[in-house]
Amino acid sequence: MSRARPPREAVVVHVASRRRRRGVDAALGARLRAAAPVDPAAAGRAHAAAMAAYAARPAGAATESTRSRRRGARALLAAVVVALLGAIVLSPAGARVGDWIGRTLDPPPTRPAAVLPGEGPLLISGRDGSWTLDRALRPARLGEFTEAAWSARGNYLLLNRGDTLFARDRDGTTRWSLARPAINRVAWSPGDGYRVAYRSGRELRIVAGDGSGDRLLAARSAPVTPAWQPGPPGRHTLAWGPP
Amino acid sequence: MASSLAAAGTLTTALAPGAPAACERSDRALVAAALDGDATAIDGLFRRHWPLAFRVALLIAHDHAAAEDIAQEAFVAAVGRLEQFDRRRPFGPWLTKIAANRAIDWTRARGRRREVGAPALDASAADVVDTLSAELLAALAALPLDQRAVVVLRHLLEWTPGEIARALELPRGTVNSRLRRGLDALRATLGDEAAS
Repeated sequence: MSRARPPREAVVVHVASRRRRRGVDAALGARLRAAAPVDPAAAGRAHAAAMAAYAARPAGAATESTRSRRRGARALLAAVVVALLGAIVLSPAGARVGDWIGRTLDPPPTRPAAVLPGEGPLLISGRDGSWTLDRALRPARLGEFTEAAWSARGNYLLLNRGDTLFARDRDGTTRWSLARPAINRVAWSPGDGYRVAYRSGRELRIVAGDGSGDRLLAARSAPVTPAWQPGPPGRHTLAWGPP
Repeated sequence: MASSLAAAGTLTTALAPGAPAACERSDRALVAAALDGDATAIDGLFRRHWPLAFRVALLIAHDHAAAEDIAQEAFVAAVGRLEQFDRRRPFGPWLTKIAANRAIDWTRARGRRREVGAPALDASAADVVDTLSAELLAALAALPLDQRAVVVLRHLLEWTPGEIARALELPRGTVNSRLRRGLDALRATLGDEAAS
């Protein structure tokens, strides 16, 4: 009796799994899983947040993604055609034609490669810190601040180091600082700029624009950045995510 | 918005007539469907991969509330970057990489900040596990963060040292040495049968 051979793909997967599991302590893995049970309530909250984030995507995001893939495919095809043409025409006899193609497709720059479209500096933050970029895209590192925000008129910078919030003026002088655990999601109110909202762990807190009057607004909040409603000076309406 | 599944009852999903259940589709098909506007595909990806991201965050950060935030934010971030996701790669490791790195960052930040009015360490996770698991959690928490993270990624997720090195942007030799030291420390704390 002959036995059917498994599909090639199944064999490859099986070998890869064996390689991956070599050296893995299965018993330790099982204990790790048992030691970290999934909280159904936490799963439910996370599920709601995930579905809300998906529903809040721009209406054309999916269509734009498809268009973007088609544009990429067309660009790749065009690049292949150009490369073939280049290979054909760049013989000694075709060198002048090749030069013409080069000048047509890649004209020498007549202006700087990139500048900011506006006058003011650009603020960039990430895991590695924060920077400002001037109009010519020259960077100036602000420090190991994973989050930063401009004040309403751009006269001050709010910088988050994780355990301390700093407010610096344009000269780099720290005007005030505030120490709190696990600071995240900072938002400076527009208009008069007299309020700063931020999360400390899961707490939602408010502090005045001069660093005074730090107080608790909500003991628990969703991990989303609160948003100030634009409005007249002296009026401060904040939108934030419930837990 | 329902604040929890426990409050809202059993989670149900509405499927288009004739559509295959999300659990039957591959990750690649689910991501493609999600990009085309199919919400059940996101539901499928969540159910398949979020629990593991939560476990990774909990074992690295050793804080139940932080793990929930980290895993939730990781999935929300993944949803936001779906267009940039390379569908030739599996979705699960991509999500758990985001969660692991965020858990590491969170734990480092907690170690730096001053404990001014900081809440007590959340012990709720220990309330629902048995004694053996509590011992393992304590032993893991005693490891330096760098060793704890690679032990979790290797033995819970079964990532190869090369995959761990790429995810954490470390040299492979560094990953291997941290794995050895972490397992040696667990063995010393828990005994040979716990981490052989």
